[in-house]
Amino acid sequence: MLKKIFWIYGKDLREEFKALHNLLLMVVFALLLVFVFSLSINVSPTASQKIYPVYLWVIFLFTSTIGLSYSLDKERDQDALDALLLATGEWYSIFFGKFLTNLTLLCLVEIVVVPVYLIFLDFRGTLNIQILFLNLLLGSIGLTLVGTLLHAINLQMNGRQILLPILYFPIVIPLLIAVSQSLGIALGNSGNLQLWLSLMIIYDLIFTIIPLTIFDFVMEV
Amino acid sequence: MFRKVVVQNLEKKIGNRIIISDVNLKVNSGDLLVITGPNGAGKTTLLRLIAGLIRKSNGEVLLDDKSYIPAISDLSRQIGYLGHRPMIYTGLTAYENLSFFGKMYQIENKSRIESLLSKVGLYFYRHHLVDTFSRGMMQRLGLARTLLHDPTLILYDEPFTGLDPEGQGLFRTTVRELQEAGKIQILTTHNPDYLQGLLICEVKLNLGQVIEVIQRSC
Repeated sequence: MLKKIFWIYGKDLREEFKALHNLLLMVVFALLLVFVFSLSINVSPTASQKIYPVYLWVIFLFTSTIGLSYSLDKERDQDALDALLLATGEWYSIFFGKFLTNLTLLCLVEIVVVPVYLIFLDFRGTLNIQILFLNLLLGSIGLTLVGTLLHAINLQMNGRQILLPILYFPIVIPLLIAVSQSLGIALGNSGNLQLWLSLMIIYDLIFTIIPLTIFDFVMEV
Repeated sequence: MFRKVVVQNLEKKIGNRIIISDVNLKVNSGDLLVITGPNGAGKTTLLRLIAGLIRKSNGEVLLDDKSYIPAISDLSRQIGYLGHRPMIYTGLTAYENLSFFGKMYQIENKSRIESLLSKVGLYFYRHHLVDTFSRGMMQRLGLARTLLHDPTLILYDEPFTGLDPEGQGLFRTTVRELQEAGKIQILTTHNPDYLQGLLICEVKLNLGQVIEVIQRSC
């Protein structure tokens, strides 16, 4: 199964880096949001310290929906998903292959956007790089796990893009609270880091297990 | 490798609507079963049910008397399926497509890929992006993808879509060769005239039911 996951992941990256459509679109969209937020936030330094983390994760949340739509839609483009299912004989490798692709794209966007965001919003505090790294990684894993699963469900319901945000945004609220709080700590706010990190890990674990139990059912309508 | 496919009392409902109702079929090694019928007759659904791509409501698909449950079965890897659309990736080249599916079937064999590309007339275009292909070329590549892993059961859904006369001839020749090789083939079409010269058995489907068995040679 691991081999299949990495072959699907490799195929997706090969397709992505040939055209760069999706990655470029995600980066441009995220930078536009950074620009919009940097123009609209006009609060005291104390308040901004609390708002920065929330806005950054809102940017990643919106941006991830673009990537998610693309990665499974292209499987539907020429019905390649059916051929892939017959070839793999199961859904898990497809799900986790797609998850890795979406995660990679989101992480690449974050590498570009985080420094730009901090510069544009004129962040002058001390940054804890280790916590920032952990925060981005655990948060991205959670967002991508939920998003990949929901997008797969959405495709089967023929709802396409319209339903995705409606299902996606409410489910990721607990994760958004945890990532925003822990990112705030990385940016110098006070708080219980262990609590928020634990919450993120639990959230990620739950959404790793859920697809394993329901993905077959979801995809074989 | 299995030698016969039996469909028993197959039924598919979506809500209260019956899409496929009580279909019974038996196809042996070397047989070509052609399913005809008007639009909406349920041809594609029947084929997808046999392939295990959608869940059946009732009935059985038996491959050599073994019930076929796709999600937990390696049997799906013995099925080749060519749909309305060629089931390939337009962002990859023809060669990359076959190489990827070859990996999934664990048959990374360069000569097999190249011979299939030659067979379907795409060898010259093997390193071209599929995105630049015409509809007929994509369908040819779809045929190569379908046959890549030497499947036992081959399902074709309106396979002539987009094929020029040369492509149609190539397809007929391929089907004949596969019949001689003892493969089980099931094909849906609006127009069985495309299959002139081939030994077929034909069933007519309408509103999800078999209404006529035209040639009972299967």
